[in-house]
Amino acid sequence: MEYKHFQLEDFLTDEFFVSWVHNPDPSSDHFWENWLKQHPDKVLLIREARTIVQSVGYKHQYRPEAGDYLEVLEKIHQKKHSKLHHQYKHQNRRWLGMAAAVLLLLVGSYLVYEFQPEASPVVAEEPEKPLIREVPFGQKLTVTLPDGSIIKLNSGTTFWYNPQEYGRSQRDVFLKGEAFFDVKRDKTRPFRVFSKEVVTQVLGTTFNIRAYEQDDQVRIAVASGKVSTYSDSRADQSQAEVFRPGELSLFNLEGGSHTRLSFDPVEEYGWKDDALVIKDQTFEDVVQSLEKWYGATFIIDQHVSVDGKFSGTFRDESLENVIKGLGFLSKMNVTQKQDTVWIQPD
Amino acid sequence: MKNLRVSHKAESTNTRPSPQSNKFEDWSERDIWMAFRQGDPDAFQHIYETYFALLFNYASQFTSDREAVKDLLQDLFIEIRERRERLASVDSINFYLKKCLRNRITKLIRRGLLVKRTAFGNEHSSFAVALSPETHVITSERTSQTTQLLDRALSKLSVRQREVLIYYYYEGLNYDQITELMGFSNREHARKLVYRAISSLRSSLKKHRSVLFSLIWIVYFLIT
Repeated sequence: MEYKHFQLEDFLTDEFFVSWVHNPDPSSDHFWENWLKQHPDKVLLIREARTIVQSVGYKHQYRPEAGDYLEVLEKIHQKKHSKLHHQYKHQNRRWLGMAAAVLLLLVGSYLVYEFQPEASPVVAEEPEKPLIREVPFGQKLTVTLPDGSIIKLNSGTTFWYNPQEYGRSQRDVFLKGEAFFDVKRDKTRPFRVFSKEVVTQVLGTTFNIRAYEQDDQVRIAVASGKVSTYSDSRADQSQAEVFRPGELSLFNLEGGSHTRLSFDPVEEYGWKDDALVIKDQTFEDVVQSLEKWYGATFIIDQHVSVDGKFSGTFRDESLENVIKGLGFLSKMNVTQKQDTVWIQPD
Repeated sequence: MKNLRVSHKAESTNTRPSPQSNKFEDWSERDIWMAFRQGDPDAFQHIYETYFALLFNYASQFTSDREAVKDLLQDLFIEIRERRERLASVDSINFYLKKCLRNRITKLIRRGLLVKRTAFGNEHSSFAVALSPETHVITSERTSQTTQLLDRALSKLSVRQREVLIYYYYEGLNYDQITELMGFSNREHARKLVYRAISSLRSSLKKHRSVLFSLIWIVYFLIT
């Protein structure tokens, strides 16, 4: 297709054009200047494309802290690999061992096959690969583990475990977000959940863990049975404590504290029965909860400012009804189109 | 070709070079890398200095674990130094180091040894992309709505799409380099990813017709 028929996307995906914007040189300058003279109707389009190419960037520039540069350099000069490196190498060795075992197995079974008219086929072991479940906003998902334990995942959650390892001597799973656990009782194989730096260990029980990426706390609420929780951060390895039904184990990650509290089951894990619970939340928090629950997008005018707290429990309600039910309409101007909500001042 | 200081010893006991200001100022990346491979400790130091913060930011786009990011950089530099004699020559040190880092990071994530950032339009998700601050120049209501929408549209792209956009527009890599970096089987994949990302952005914005005109106004203000 010729350049004169190009639309915006076509320029933006054309290597020659993009490299001219990024790295102009005399020959490409000459080409484009000439071309633009011949096609003046495309000047605006080209300028728009140029602007877009030049303005894309990282939203966050993560910077090292003051001492990091020297700290890492020091370790480099000492030639000491990190703990992460050793974990990686250790796994490699195991893979190598497994690969050797597989090879032996295949050779052995081939020989058996050769000398016996009826031999059952051998299935090669698959290398360890974690099974990952990601749940987007606006959805929930129930996962059943090999031992029959059932995990219900809330919106915006990532959950994973290693099917090969699970149930060997431990039952280890990893969580980022929120989930309600119904763990099958097994005295010989403890069930452990790793969420941020907190480890929750149980034998068989039902409980809820809330540990979203952006939270600065981890909440573990016990519905039945017993759980033991402890923090496994690099800075501090605290003592494990046991929690019973009706008790909430709260880790404050900023301050590093660990407290025992009570909780309201509907508030804490009503979500698993599809109850949306809003309790004394600020306007900003409510918006965030709704975005998560419905997978909606809220566009809020910068002049909108709402004080006060909102509360309400909703079961099987549309976003529209929840907005009405919370009393948004009396405080501001709300327009909704499918899953986008615009909020303007009254 | 510049005169290189070649040291014949494999390792010296004092590997800490004295601070030299800009000895490598005019050198090409190829030559600096060659000097490093031949054992020049100043070249190694220069490479570390030049790329430490950049690689820190890059690795941090994949994971929020700062300690792990430091560990990754530590391991990377120890390994390239140990293996320097066996390394091939490179035209772009930046690209090479990023490729090593990315390979290691994806392996660690796959094996559950490193936790990646969540990918749900979260403020601090992997490879969060934004238009540069200059685009927020005008403060009229309508325009702030537009930039918010653009922001949302960008955050709705998949992590891979955002990653590719950064490499293509911000880092200025071509499709072949992106293909090599991300480990695709062919360059068409890279081109398609960019195309889909752009189309997806356009359709997110087209949903609100008035917005498209606002976009053109922003562009107008920026270029005049």
